[in-house]
Amino acid sequence: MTAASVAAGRAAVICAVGAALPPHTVSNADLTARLETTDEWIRSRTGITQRHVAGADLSTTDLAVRAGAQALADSEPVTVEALVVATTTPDRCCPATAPAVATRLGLTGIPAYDLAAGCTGFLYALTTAAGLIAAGTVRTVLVIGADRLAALPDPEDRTTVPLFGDGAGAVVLRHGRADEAGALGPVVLGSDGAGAGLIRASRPGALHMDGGEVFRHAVDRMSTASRQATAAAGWELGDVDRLVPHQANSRITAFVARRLGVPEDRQLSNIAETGNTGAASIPLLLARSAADGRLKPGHRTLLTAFGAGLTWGATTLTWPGLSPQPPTQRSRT
Amino acid sequence: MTGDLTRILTDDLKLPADRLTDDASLDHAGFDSLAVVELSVLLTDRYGIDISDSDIKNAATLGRLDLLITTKRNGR
Repeated sequence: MTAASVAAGRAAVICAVGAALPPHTVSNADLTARLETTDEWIRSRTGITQRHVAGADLSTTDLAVRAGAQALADSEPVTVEALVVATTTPDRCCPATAPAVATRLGLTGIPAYDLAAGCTGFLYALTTAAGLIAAGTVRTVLVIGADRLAALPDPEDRTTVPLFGDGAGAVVLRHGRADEAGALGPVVLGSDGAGAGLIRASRPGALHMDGGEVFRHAVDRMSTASRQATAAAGWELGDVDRLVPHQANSRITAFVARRLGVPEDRQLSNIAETGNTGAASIPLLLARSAADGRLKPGHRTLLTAFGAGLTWGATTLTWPGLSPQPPTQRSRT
Repeated sequence: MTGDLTRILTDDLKLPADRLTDDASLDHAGFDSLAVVELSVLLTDRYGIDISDSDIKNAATLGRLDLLITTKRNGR
């Protein structure tokens, strides 16, 4: 193999997706029974009608294993050589989630690590995984975003409880050519610790969020990162067939899409059914949209996210031909 | 109120149309802190005018808010 062909084979290509949602759902009506809020307020302000919430018997690790297993089952035959788990809500401080997930997936021995970048975690994880491939360290990486955000808000806080849900999503990245469908385009990532106080939680049940400032930063950062990522890929914004924004709030994503000039029929969304699932949100939306046909092979796809940190990012890819399944909602693995 | 502001408040901010009168306070119309920020961002995006959160919050009525926006737009 020549040097040129080695380099050409070091792009990171998505070759499978997987998703897992807890079987238990909490509707807006369930929340209005115990909080001073209304279904109309939640829907008009957030776009959310229900969220999936894990019980005590379903950990972040469990969700990650299920999403990862589904991605591996749907993948072309590959040998996974590394695992990255993006999560802000690991089951414990120490040890990390990823080694346990790797072992439960039959991957004991591979490098496996966690990465925390709030709701941008999945894009950060994709980028570091693509870096492992580009460096020639490994040829195939399983990337999982898994979060249990429903446990973060103060249970009595009517403004934040409705926003969050639990879930996990996964993709398999393999080495390949930069010009093939599924290859990740240039990535834009950023952070700003001066905004650390805008979304913070010292422990579960103690989330503080400055909704107004988060809104302003999220719209600015996601639209700017999206412009930069599309320009770096050599695309015009008008080339974007599908916008896949982190599902934080339908109002935020509507503002981002309007700034970018992406019409409604090119925006993908599942926030109504899942709420904000943190690092899981983008892979969950990819899996769901690929399964229901709204995301088709050949679609020029723009991913963008914003989260606690503050963190943000965006990247592009042409959607590959996959055969994804609906999210697994088994009560037991 | 001008049609432009009415449309923004009903279509974009999803505030209840039956509360949108000239003499209604922002609280009565259903403005919360997020709606204030949304309106500020939207006015910048749509009309290129800069009206701060506190300017919006300090408007005593929707009629006053409308006047503030119209003045800024005409002053560009």
